[in-house]
Amino acid sequence: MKCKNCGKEISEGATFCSECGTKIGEEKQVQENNIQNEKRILSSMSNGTFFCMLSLISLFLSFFVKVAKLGILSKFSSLFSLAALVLCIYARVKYPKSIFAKVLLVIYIIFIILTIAFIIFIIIACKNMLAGCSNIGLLFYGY
Amino acid sequence: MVINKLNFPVYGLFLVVSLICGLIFNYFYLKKCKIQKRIIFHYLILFIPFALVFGFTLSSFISKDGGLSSYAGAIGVIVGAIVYEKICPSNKIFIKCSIMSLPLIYSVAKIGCFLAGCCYGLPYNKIFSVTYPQGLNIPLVPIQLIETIVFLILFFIILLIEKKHNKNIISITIVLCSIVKFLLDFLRYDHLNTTITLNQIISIVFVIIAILLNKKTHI
Repeated sequence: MKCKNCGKEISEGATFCSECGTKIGEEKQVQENNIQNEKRILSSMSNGTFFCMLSLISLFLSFFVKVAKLGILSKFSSLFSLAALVLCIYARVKYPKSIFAKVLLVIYIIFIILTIAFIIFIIIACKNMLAGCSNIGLLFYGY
Repeated sequence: MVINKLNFPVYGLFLVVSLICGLIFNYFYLKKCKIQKRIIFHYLILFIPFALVFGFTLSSFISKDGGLSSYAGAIGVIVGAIVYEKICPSNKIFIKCSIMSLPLIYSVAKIGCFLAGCCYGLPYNKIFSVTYPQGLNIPLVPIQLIETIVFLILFFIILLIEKKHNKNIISITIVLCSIVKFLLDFLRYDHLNTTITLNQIISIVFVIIAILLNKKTHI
């Protein structure tokens, strides 16, 4: 007969599997545990995906609010971007097995680094515009 | 500031350096408190975006000339820590270390203000006065350097208090920093024909909030 846990051939009358050590008769318990673990992983991944989708929606909203120039709401478009980052980190912390959350966080980190590099480039390039901290505030107030 | 004929944006550079100093302090403090590296890493990712986004967004309301406001950035850092504390509850350790890092961040950022020639002091023509030829072109109090030194000393005092007592460190830090900022604000140029500035009003509000928080939650 075969071990139900690892599939190795075991002799009739054996009480333990020589390959994985599972007690014959306890395979059903191990199988049930494996099924439970798989269900937990799938549930975790789908919940992680849910928060990642929320994060992407929030990011889209921040671009939309900025581009659509919705009056005073445009000033707070960056808060939508921040919410997107928070949702992604929430997914990553609570659902560590979610691959979507992992990939999305890497993309956000690259985006943040590129944004900071771009800001530094703009500051160096536009030296006439940025005489001091007052002008930096005006630049980003309008961005 | 011109270095080798290149007009160098010292203000932006020191702003970034100050946030990095805050990041480094937060990392080592959380590591000392035996927080998992994965958890620390995710907290540090939130740190700079919150500081910058709140710094730029709220500054448009707080600062009359459109410049960056230190209180706006501080609020960003604290809000970021509170948000992360909700995601990963850990007995307010993230809020504590973010608030403790604020005097260090402010101290380093003021070096940028000194070199860029903004947030300058009252007219003063005695020893250690500073003149900005591109700006007002009169001798002024080097208030930015005074703030750098005072807040650096305050940072080390807070570390000592935390090491000895550890209780109420959040409210102690907020009260001490707000009182010092309130007093030093009298030496700034903005105070020339003003009884009380917006920064001083915000300092009073922070002190009140800290005292109420201490009474309610003993943090």
